Amino acid sequence: MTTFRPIRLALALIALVIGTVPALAQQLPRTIVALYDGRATSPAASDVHLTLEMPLNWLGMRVRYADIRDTLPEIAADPEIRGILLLWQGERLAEPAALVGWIERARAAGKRLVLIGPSPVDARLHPDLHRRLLASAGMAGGGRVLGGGRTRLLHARPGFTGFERPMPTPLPGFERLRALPGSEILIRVGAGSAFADVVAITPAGGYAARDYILHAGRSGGPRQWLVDPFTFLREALALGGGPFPDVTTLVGRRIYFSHVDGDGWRSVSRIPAYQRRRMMAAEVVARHLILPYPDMPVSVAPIAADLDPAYGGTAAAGVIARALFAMPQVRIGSHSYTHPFAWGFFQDYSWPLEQAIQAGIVAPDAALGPAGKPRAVARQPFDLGQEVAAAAARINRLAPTAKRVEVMQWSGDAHPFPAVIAATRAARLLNINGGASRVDTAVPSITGLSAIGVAAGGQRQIYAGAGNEGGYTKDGTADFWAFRYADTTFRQADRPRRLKPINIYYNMYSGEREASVRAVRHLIDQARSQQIVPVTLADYARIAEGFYRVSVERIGPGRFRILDRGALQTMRFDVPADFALDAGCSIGALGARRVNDSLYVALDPAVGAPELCIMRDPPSFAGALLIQSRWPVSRLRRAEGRFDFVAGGFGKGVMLWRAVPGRWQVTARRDGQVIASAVGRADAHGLIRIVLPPSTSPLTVTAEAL
Amino acid sequence: MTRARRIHVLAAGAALLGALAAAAILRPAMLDRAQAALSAGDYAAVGRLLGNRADVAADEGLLMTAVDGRLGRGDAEGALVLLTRYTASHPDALTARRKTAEILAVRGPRSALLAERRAIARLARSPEDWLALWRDADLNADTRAEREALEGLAKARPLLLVESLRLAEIEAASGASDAAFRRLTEALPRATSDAVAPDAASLLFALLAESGRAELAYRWWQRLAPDRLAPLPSLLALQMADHDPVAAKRLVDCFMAGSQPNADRAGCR
Repeated sequence: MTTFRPIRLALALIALVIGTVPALAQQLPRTIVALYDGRATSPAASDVHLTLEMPLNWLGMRVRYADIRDTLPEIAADPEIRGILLLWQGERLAEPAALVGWIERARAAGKRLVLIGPSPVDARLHPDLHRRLLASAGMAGGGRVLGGGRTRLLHARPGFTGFERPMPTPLPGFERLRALPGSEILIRVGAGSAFADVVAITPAGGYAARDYILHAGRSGGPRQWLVDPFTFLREALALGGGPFPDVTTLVGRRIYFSHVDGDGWRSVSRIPAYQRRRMMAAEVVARHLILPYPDMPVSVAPIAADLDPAYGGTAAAGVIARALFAMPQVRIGSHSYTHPFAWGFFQDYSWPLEQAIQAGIVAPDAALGPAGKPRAVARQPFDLGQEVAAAAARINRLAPTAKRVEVMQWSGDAHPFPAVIAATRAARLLNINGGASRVDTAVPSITGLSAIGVAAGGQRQIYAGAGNEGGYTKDGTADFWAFRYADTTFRQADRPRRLKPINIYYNMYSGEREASVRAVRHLIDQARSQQIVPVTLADYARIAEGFYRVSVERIGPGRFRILDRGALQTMRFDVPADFALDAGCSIGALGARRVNDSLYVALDPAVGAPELCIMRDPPSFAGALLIQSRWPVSRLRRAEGRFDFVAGGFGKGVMLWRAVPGRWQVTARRDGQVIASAVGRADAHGLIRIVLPPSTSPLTVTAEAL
Repeated sequence: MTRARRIHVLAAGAALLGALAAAAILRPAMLDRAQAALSAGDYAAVGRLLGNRADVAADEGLLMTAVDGRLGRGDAEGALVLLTRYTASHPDALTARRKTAEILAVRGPRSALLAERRAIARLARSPEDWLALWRDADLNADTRAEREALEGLAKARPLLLVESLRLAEIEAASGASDAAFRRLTEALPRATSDAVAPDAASLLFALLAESGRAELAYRWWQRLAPDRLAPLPSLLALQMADHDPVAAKRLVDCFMAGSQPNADRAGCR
């Protein structure tokens, strides 16, 4: 029987998922198939990607897009698939029978269905298929009741609505649907004697009428959530309390990384003292934003053409690059060879057309963006090999022996096509940029925060963790002071949920103006004052890649095995406060820390398949547990009265452990040589703070109870 | 008044006049120098020239130069302090208010931004400013501000369909059915059926039906609704919920007649 249960289900669900589990190892499916119509949209432009994929990622789900024009994948027997997400954009289907049959087969195999109305099936033309699709989502009924100011809210689960804004006035019309027995109705509305369950968690998954969950901004404003999308997705997909692979946190601290694109490298700074000396913006950035921060890693990505005299580059630009690359905190990226502005232009490329646009003979298409031309330098026909492998090779000529280009930092619109992403993989480069994440006064919604990445054509692009200054400065033309307020995004993407790492991402043209330099400095200083774990851009890209590959097995009640995680080293559990890591039962867990309402468990990179036990009030554990650290930690070994580990990172190695109360002798060695040794005290709670001298190369640290 | 006192008063007056004259003479020179520094990107010099001058708080030219100087140094907080102080004593200072809104649009808080947008729109009365108010009112879910924005916009230029529909929605929701009705009957004839959101058409439909103008309701619906009989059940539900079975029957008669080719729509009257 359908009932209202106006209580939060979270705790019950968590207890259910963690407490009642089968004894055999069972893979926890974490892929959602999102259907779309390729005539109306693309994965990257779809509403699923732009609104739902970030919350899904936060809940540990990865999204696989399937164009309904293609043969739909056979998912019924695929243990990796958790469910289907259907948020339709485009015309209703002329021939929906195959789609409905496919969904029914998946449902029969236990896959969940989240249907966000309206349905892609026209009820008038295909009443039976319409009914069957709704039934697959756990809904029934039909017939539209139009708005017109008469719709009333009959029921809403407390705390579920008003997530970013209240329900609209007047309420929209609705499909007269009712949730099937066994459902929980989250929102019910009515008009006169008609009523509808416009948001419901059903035994099959979930249903939501789009107008009741997402507000489309007026007059060009951004979208805002009317309801809590995390709660809806968590419950509709029966995700419980985790574990969820996490890309925001490492060894108990928020991840920090930074990168600079090469745009404006050779521009002469307009800061008077530097302008007189014709100082390049890149040198100003080096002097003010990189050199003073040896504890804050940054990836610097020149445009290869700036370094190549054949393309207008200069030797002076190369001198600055060489100096930057030699700094210990600097890692190297590539920002392409000729700086494409609109990557899509080169997918189906015509050199004569590009020449005509560059010469002003052909009017540029609006899709070329504010630059109005396909790329910055067009002396030769576009060549994939040149943009990727040759650019990296050209930049590497200026790199010290121990460093090489690690990451392709996408230029321009950061919408690379599959072949160019494939080229980065062939060149053994990671790739990043795009996403333009932002949540602040101008974009007061988490819809402004991107997914971790986007997949298309068998390739995957990793998005930056935040938007760069272009989004604040009208693409580098005005309001140069404004980028300082990017820290609003960093704050709002941290609480009440940690949705993003801190990523200070800017361009070399920030060195052109005093306000820009001060804005970036402000952000770095702000980040520096927080509890962060600074990593390189490549580290983050690897962690993000790990998110897409990791799999999780349930191996017992509250016990999970983590497989194939790559560089991803944190699993998050959204569990009540009395749940904790049972370290005695776990393998490969460095420790755990509560942040917001979640428990973040740090994994030991040296352990290939860690096992985690999470339970209510676990037995006390005599061994050392890491709470948080500024440096990544690995190879933890515990013995009675002793623990040792390997760690290295940027800045001082500040870390907090829980161990047996009392005095401890802590010794740090590099290549067998003692470089620091001190006696510390673990307080009555067993908390001991260790501070190691700066060392980007790994130190072996031993702690012995005295 | 004693002679000595008269002398004192005259001296004070002369000093005041002198100061004013000096300020009048020096002010353009100061402004020119500050603006030259601003153009040269020497924001520190702007600060040195204008930093402690009391008349920055009274002279809009000096103020904006000082503000741009601070912004040039990345000091938006300092610029905001100057602007806020100035607009408190010069509430009609449009340029200063626009600059304030520009900063608040990035910095927040949203409530302050909305207040600034409202002040600007009321002063400037331009379509762009009313639209900016509408956008931020919507982001703040502030229906009153939305209404003010759209009513202001309606005076500045003819509303687009989407704007008319939203205003009518707000009017209807606040009980101003007549105003909503007038607005919709004015806006919808200019619209093509596919441009009209079903809910908006429905709003007009409901307003007409409620006021007993069933035939008109029918005609609107015939023109605007894709599936002409679809609203009947919901409309009936509304009428029945209002305990008006006579109106409900009139609607049924009207629609049943209307759905037949060449039908006599007497029931609609």
